Amino acid sequence: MENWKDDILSSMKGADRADVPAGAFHKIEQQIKAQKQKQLSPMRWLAVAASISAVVIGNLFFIMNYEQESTSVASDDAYPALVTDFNIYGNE
Amino acid sequence: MTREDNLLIRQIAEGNELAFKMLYDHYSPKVYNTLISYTKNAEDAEELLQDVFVTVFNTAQSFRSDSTVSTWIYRISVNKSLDFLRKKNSSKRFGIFASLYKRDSAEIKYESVDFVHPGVKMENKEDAKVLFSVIDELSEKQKTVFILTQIEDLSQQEVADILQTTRKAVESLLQRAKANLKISLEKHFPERGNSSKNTSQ
Repeated sequence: MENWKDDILSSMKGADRADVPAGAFHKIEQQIKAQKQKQLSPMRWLAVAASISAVVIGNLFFIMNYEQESTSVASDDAYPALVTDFNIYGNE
Repeated sequence: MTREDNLLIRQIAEGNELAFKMLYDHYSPKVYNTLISYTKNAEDAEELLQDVFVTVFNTAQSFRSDSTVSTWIYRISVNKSLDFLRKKNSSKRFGIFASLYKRDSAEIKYESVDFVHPGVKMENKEDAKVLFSVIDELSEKQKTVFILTQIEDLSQQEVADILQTTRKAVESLLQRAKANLKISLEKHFPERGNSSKNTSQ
């Protein structure tokens, strides 16, 4: 009575393997090549990091110089006499 | 083959494409046969085959020889297949949910219920079709044990190594898988039991 179920359960016994589709390996190779092209090499990573740090350092340098310049303009007020000595048109 | 396999893996880790081709030629029929038993669809199995071998190529460096190359490749194949089925089931559930709200979205693609394994013998074709129609009712572990032992013809110890469990556990999973499949068969194909009773009388 149970035979029909056992027959179904063992229906794959002795079956052949399914044939692998032709051209599958070529597609795998293409995928691996595409992956390699996407990945950045360590040298390229270094170049990217170097250019980012150059931009950051350049900006920092600019900000620091700008602050120094604004403080040096303020310090000119400490020498009014010196300025008036060279004020040619003020004596007229 | 184990020693040669280990050598091939080392060469693949160094980027040797010829070694990769040799490994592919040896394992792709086993991998593809396993994948098609899970997916029941040739296109999906081919896509997963590509995925498995790209993973093999990418992770060859991290291969540790505490398991055989065969075990390792089968493990990758089983994991990819189960991931694929999980994704497919969740999208199917979402499709059913969406179709409740949107009449036009009721066009959901279900897998063919008439899947015939390409390697099955002519006289077993109908029985194999019935088998594959109920195999998805098994749990992931039971299904894996059934596919690997009954379709891939691996030994229980090999399957235990792939699943990282004991041979006893595999034996028990196989028994439960067979029992559950019989219950499903009785439920979905009661006429088969009746016809076999009639013919035996």
